[in-house]
Amino acid sequence: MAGRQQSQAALLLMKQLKELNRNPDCGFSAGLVDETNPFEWQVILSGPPDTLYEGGVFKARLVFPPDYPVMPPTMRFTSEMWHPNVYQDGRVCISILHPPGDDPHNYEDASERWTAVHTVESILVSVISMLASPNDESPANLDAAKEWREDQQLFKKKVRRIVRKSQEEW
Amino acid sequence: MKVNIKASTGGKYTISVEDLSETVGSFKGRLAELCGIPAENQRLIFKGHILKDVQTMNDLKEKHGLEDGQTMHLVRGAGASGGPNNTTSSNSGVQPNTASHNQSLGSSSGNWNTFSTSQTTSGSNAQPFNMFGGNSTPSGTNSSGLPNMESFGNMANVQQQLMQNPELMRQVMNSPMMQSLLQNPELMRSMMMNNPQMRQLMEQNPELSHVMNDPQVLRQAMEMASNPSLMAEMMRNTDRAMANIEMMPGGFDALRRMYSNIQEPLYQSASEMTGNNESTDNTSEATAPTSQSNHFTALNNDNNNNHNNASTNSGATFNPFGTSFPAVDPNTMATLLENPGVQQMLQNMFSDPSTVESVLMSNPQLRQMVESNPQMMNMLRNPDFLRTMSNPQFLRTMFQLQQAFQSSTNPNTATFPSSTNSNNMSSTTSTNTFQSNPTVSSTPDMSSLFSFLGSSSFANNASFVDPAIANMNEEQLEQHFHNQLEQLREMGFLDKQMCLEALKYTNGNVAAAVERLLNQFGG
Repeated sequence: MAGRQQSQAALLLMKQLKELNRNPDCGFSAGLVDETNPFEWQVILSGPPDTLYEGGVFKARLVFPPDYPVMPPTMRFTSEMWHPNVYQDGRVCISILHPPGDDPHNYEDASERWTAVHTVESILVSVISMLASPNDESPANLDAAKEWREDQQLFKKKVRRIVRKSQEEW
Repeated sequence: MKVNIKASTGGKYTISVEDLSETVGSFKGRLAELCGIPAENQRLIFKGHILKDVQTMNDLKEKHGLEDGQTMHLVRGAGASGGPNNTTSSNSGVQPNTASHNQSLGSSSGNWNTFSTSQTTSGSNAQPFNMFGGNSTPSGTNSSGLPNMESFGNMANVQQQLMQNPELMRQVMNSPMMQSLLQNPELMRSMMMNNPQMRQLMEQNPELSHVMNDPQVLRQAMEMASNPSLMAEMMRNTDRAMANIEMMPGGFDALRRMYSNIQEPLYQSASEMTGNNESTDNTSEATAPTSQSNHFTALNNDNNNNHNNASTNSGATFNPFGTSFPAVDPNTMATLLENPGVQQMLQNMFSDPSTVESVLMSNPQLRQMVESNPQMMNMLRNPDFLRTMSNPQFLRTMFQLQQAFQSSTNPNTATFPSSTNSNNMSSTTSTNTFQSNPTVSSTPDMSSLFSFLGSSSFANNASFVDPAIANMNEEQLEQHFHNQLEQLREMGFLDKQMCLEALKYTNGNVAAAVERLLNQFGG
């Protein structure tokens, strides 16, 4: 049973990957880290235009659980990132990547959390819009959130630095 | 091999790659001539990977599956050489410290400025890959996913019934014919294109036709359908997605538009397809024990459908697929016939010959059958006969008769009259009608007609092996399928054993047998 579920997840992931690459007119590029493993994706997000992150080219890893799409993948930036909703280690904290069901803290509505309706594409679109407009109400990176709220200049500088770094990394 | 390049500046380029040993570096050189960005400033991204200059096209092919027509992203990056870039990159080592200490030295802030201006200029033409363009919004994906499920899970009604019975669903999906269908999206497509309404719909909605034309989508849909739990999940998600869309401002309108533009015509054509299917299902089953009685259920179904159209869902709905299943066991049939509701319905129907006629005439395939078989028409026009038909006892007898008839390997004329006589016919007149008709001689005639009809259209419905045929040995089979074998041989299928096997599984339907054989060869 578990094997079948996993193969279905793999099938679905391969399909989504194929679709993304067939229709690449978006702010990201996605592929597999290792061509034999559909559960680990390498993506590159470009910073959305007219935001602080504009021009940045950020690498990230998506790791999917075997029971995808029942459970959400995790996403982690491997490029340096400075953002209120991204942990210091690069993990992305957005509501749609939280496991389905009700929030134990009653903070998020169940409808904001992961549902199997989401695709890799909708995740990436959400992450890009997260870059464009940080949510400082449930910050993952407290320092960044504080800066974003209180010292925009400093925040800007740090973001520009990581944007520049992302361009030089490669 | 041609590779598309999509630049962050909005430009699109196509470069052909002939030599797989070409490096990314030299590729960038060629690209520089087209896009004007110096090779050292180009950043090529393919499938989430940043390409390194030393990689060859062959590496890309092996590692990331680079193929003809695929797209790479081009981003303008800070180059390895060049004035302002040099300063910024030399700064980068220092910058983290200054930034974290919030110490802006005059010189470094000057650098910052130069950087940020160059940044904005490169950014303004950057427009990184037009992010929210196209169908990238989640609702977009949903709306394209929707009609598609709807049409393949095929006709909400059937789907629902199947959903309620996962076992049945699995059986359907695992049947060899369905399997071969799964492997042959092309066939699926042509089946759909055979339906004029469907075709019209596709012509009106190019996006839809794109979806339908994509074998991948078809296969996915079919695979989805073959897994009841996944299917249920999908259905639930669709519902949820719909609810979500509805919540959005203007979402409801969009849904309504979609419904009237796509869903409704789709549903209509789909239900018409089921209608046609029904009759072919039944006809292609000519050799099955239940053909005659199935036929009646088909009529019932039609009748029911009429009811349904007139007064929304007042009548009991039968599973349209039910009729096509070989496993309509005699007991079920008997209970069905003894059901007062069914009886009444039959009576209603048969008490008025014109109803029957209109039902028959409204269905092209049935009409064809009737027209090519005048006796049948006469029979159906005879009120007495119809009345008899509405007698459940008679129907049951008929049914048993059919079985007896079928179980004797050679169409035995002797069993027919004898069993008729052994039965208590309530109305002798109709028995006469029946016997006076050359029924016996017309039966084989009809079965050939059935199989002809079956082969002409939805040949693939005959997915079971008729018990009578299953029990035959090879010699008998060969005799039985002599004509079909001959046809297959003419087509170049020389392996007699394989041909017989295929014919056995398709009940002698040549077209379906060919399909099966081709699939076998295709592996």
